[in-house]
Amino acid sequence: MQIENQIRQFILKNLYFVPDETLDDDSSFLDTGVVDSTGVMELVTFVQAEFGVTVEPREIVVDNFDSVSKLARFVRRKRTPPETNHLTPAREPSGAAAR
Amino acid sequence: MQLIKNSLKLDPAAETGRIVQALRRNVPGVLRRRGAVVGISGGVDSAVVLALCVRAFGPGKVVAVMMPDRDSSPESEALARQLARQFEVEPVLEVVTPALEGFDCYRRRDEAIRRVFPDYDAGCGYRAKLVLPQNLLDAGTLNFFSLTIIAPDGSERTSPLPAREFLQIVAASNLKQRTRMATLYYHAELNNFAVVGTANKNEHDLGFIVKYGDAAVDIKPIGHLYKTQVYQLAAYLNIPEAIRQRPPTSDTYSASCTQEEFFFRLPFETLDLLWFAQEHEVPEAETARVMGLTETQVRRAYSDFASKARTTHYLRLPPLDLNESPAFAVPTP
Repeated sequence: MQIENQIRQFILKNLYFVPDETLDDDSSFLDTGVVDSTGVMELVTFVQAEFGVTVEPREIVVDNFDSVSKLARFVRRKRTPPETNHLTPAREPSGAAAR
Repeated sequence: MQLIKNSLKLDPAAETGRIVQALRRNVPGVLRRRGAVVGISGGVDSAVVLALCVRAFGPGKVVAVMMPDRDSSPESEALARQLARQFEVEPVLEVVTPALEGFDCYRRRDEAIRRVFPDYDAGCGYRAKLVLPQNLLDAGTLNFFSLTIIAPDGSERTSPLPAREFLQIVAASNLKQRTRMATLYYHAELNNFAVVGTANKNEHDLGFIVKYGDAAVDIKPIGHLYKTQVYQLAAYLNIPEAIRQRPPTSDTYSASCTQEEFFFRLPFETLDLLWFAQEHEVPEAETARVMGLTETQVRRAYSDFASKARTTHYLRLPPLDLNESPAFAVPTP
């Protein structure tokens, strides 16, 4: 759950507009208005810098960026080598690679 | 309510009469002003508003102001002059480039562009625009802006925009609408006239508007009309064909950019009916059936409209009064 926590903390600190409420991992950013279009840009910048992945424009879609859990799954997929993607389920990186 | 393909068809004669009566009633009666100032851009919205104001007050009580800057297409001024001639209003030309240079508008904007494309040089003929993904119905893409630059040889390059550069480009560019607002109010106060807004419902309610820029007006005669309804009035009011046929532009960036590219992501014929359906809580299945779309496509459009309205809600708010308890209430989408 480390990736989820990092994402959640970034959003709560930088993008979240509603005070004193917890951010549910599965809440839709669009439906709840948690993150606006500028926030999506900031999330992309954060994900690239924090997790060392490159986000292609075609990957900036609801399925990847619309909740904490979706974004965490996207990050894990990006960090998993392509040849192993279809062999093993996405899992938390080992300590040496983790931030 | 039942959605049909003609749900947005209005009676242009009746609607024109209603708007003209409202202008005649409110401008002198409520605003206590003697006429109208209209910014004309060569686009269909300002053309319709000029025509409505001339009907309401007569050409002698309407000031039509053209406000190009160095990025404006020459076609815009030519069309605005054609419009003014047709409605017998002598247009006023206010070139706002010096004012924008005084605000450092171009330098601030181009500085941000160069952080993305270091070789960008407006002085050498490079042009730029912001665009959103154009596949709103077919993919769950989010409203993520990209920057496109066009080199003097016509070649184009596009890059996703980081947030910092996006905010700086928009903040600098919005100086244009705010400068035009100040210019319009100069003419309004000079003549004791009202500033009549030219934003339509799409622009106002979905947020394609600048706070205290083009949103700062005294009265909004077409603020309740969908874009396609503005075109219906334009045909009825005999707006020049060249203006009616011209694709709506953002008229903000140096590269030619349609409103669909920059903000709305859908052709207006599709957007308006989808948005009407969403506003009237038409079930996705029914909207899909009427419009020949899938429910997924309708859901994506509904979600985009809700997101845009929510994100831009603050643009439509008056200054918050901290003494009022609902001041920080989050609006219900």
